[in-house]
Amino acid sequence: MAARVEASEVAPRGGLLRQRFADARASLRSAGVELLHDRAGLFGLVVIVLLVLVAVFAPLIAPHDPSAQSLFDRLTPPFQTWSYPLGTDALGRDELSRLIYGSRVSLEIGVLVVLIAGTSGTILGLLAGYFGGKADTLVMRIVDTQIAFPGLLLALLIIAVIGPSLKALVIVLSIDGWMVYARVTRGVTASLRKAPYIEAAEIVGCRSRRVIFRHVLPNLTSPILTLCVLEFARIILAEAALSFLGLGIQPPDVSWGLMLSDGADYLFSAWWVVSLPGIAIALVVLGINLFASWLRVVSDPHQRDKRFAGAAQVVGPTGVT
Amino acid sequence: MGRFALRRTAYGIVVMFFVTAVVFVTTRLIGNPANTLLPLTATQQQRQAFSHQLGLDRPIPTQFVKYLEGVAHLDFGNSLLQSRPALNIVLERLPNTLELVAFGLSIAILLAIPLGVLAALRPGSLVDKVTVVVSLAGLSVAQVWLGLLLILIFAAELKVLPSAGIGGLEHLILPGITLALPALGRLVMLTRSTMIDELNTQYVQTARAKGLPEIRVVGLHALRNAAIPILTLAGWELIRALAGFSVVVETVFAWPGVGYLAFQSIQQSDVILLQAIVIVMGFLIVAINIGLDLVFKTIDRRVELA
Amino acid sequence: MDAGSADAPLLEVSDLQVQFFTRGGVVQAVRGVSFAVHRGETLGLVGESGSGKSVTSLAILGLLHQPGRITSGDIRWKGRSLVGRRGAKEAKRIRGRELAVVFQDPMTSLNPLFTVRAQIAEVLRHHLGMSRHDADERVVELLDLVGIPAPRQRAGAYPHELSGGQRQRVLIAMALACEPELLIADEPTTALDVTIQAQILELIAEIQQRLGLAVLLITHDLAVVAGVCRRVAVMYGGKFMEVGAAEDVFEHPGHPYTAGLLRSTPRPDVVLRRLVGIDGMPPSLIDPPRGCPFGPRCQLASATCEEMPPLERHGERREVACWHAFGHERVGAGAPAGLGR
Repeated sequence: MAARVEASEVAPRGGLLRQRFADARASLRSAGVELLHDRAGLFGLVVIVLLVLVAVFAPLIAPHDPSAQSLFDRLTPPFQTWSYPLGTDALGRDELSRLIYGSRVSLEIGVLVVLIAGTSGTILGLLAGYFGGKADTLVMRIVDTQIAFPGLLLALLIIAVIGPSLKALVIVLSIDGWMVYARVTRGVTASLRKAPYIEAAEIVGCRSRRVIFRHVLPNLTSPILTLCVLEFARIILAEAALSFLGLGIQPPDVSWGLMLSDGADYLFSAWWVVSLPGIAIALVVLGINLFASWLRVVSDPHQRDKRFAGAAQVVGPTGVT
Repeated sequence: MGRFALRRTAYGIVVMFFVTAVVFVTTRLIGNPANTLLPLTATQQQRQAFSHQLGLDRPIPTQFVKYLEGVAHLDFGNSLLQSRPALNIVLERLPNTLELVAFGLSIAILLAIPLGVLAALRPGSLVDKVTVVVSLAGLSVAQVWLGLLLILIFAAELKVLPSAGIGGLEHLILPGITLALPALGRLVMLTRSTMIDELNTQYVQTARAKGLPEIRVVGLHALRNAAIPILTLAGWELIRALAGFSVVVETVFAWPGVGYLAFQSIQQSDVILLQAIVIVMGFLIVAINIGLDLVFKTIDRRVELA
Repeated sequence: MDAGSADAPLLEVSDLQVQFFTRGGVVQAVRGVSFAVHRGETLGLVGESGSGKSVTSLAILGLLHQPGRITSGDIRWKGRSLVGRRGAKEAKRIRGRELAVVFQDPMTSLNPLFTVRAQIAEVLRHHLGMSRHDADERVVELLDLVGIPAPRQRAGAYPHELSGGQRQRVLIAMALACEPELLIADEPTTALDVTIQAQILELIAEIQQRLGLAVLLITHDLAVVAGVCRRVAVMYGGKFMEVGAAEDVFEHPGHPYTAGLLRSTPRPDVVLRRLVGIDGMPPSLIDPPRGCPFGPRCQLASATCEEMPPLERHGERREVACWHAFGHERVGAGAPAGLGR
């Protein structure tokens, strides 16, 4: 893990801040260069950016109201007319508009769950890893216990009882999702905790809070960020599954999972009603996975060297050992 | 080893206790149990009688104890709609789920290891790139869509395989593939990256320096070390499938397993049956976890001394 | 030269060139290196990180991975080439059997999942077709040879149960299993504590004498060479700078780089206020300089150094690649403090 040690604890705030910006800009630039080389990662980033743009500007982009029905135009195949470029479903609703608005829901749920589960999981993991001892044992026991639960089934039960809604979905997915953040954070924090420079900071007299913010958090950003991105993908798939089972988003709202369930009824007569949301989900999740894997390789110097696998053993600082 | 097994079992019991507690809290305390547990057509009198029968008018700790007693005696109550003990219904369907999961995961593991190893032997080559792309695609698709797509292609268009139900091998194939593909994708990616790491270790270099045949170096020295994380993931995939992901696949293919049963019980608001499913599967998962831990203990001697 | 080194050499390297084709450019790791090792001979290959010495040994063993390749030159074992497709097969045949190697880091060189016995027996059963029983017996013999106490019990140990020094002994035992004729030791002591270093070197020297083994010792540490090797080759920037008898070279270094190395070796009997080093950095091998690679750092450098000096004979057993050979102060105090011979 790349450890970033601050040059001096007593430097003037302004100077240090400017230094930080310069460093960040330099690493972003080199990251940018790496991204251009790795077309898969670039594709992933493009997909994510498109998703966000489409979701945010949905009302401006979508040609129709996603819930506007038109029984006259029901089950129009795609690529036939300009008014319904991707066809319509059984109720005559425009598929393209439904896809666009569906992306909103995916984004919304993904962001909410990642924020809630991620924040709580990271904080708990941080406390467990940094303070160790009883806090650590307690948090990790809870994590281990909850991981052993039959996750999806329990989610089904909870939603069945409290009634399906977007809120229920977010709650259930957050409860099911925080453990992985806690584990990763705790792992990184606990190993950093033992690092000599953390000890040094404490000896100098830094309070825990300062040590955490200055030294531990910067090293957490990369693994947590990668995790967030991957979790986002997993949540999109989870929403699809739950909505398909009728326990996720409810009509008249639209989500890609709900579109899948609508399409299942007309699988043989109107293949596009199922396939369009399916392809959308696949592309988005694939893009996210590609981006996350690029992110993981680039932000960890160890991984970066491994890409030149065989040579890494032999190629030293000047190129050769 | 015996002490370890005991400790894990004790821990497993603790987990089960919490699962049961969560199920209890969910069904009894959230919302009005008399409403959720009874069909909508029940009258006020029936609801009151029901409440009394379930002991809902008693204090909560007493309710919980009674509930635990029921669970300990394997009495989950009678399914609301089938009027049979819920446990029996679940146990009838369980073998079907196990069959599906066993089949699917076997395919996944048997294919993943050779593919992953092959990709790791030639990183950056065409074989490698194709393997990575296909694996990533496999783990990116929604299982729902994959299942429906397979039905569309093989059952509807090509008419080669049946689209639903249980029967011989031909019924097992499509749902098996649907279950297996995301797991296969994840397993291949992990196998590949673990093997790449292994092939770069110093001890593999030493093995080659000893003049051993490449098959032995890769198959024994590298793979044996890689096996641990790979099998760990495989175990996790097994649990994942049992913990709920079989629900989706079974529902798409109307495969009469526990997952489909869960779906049906949701549709019919049979909360008692759903509770029974959650707790039984919870037991199963805890048991499998303990089993896996024991297996890993024997494989990796380092764990013993750690 | 040692007795018994007459006749054909065991190992002959001729004008070896190794390149690595990386995304950052072509790294010219070894740029035309030639030497020979005869039966029972001990040759030390000295150089700092980046000199190309480890790459040379990997090339000899046929263990160069992508993106590295032998781009020109030849390596011959008992007259048969180890280069090219057929050469690779030959290399595989002799690896671990006639030609063995001990690598640098004992902590990671043994497979953590197999016992010491299994890993050594493996070599015996593959190359010599020994039965399990015979191989196990031989393992105990070998462990005893390298000085592992209670060898029969220790044979069943796993690598993590042994210390660094013990692991290195096991690796040496493993290398000696099939009674090879040449042992390549690539930085065998670098990853060990100083006290253990001395023990391991003594072990290698002792085994070399007892078995009449030829040894190619690769290291950056002059003291290590002094204790074990009769001859030494100094490598820099992918080329040999100087070759000769170890005692001789240390007493009267011919090349300024060798002199610099000797000067910067701290000695217990000389009190210094500051450590002496050699100014400058090793050259990048992606676009190596055309002339002498040591030129930019050399105090004796002149215009002629723009052209690469060839290895020239100076006296009957010495070769130096320098236009200004012997043109610097002598070190004067003899071989660096280390193991006497």
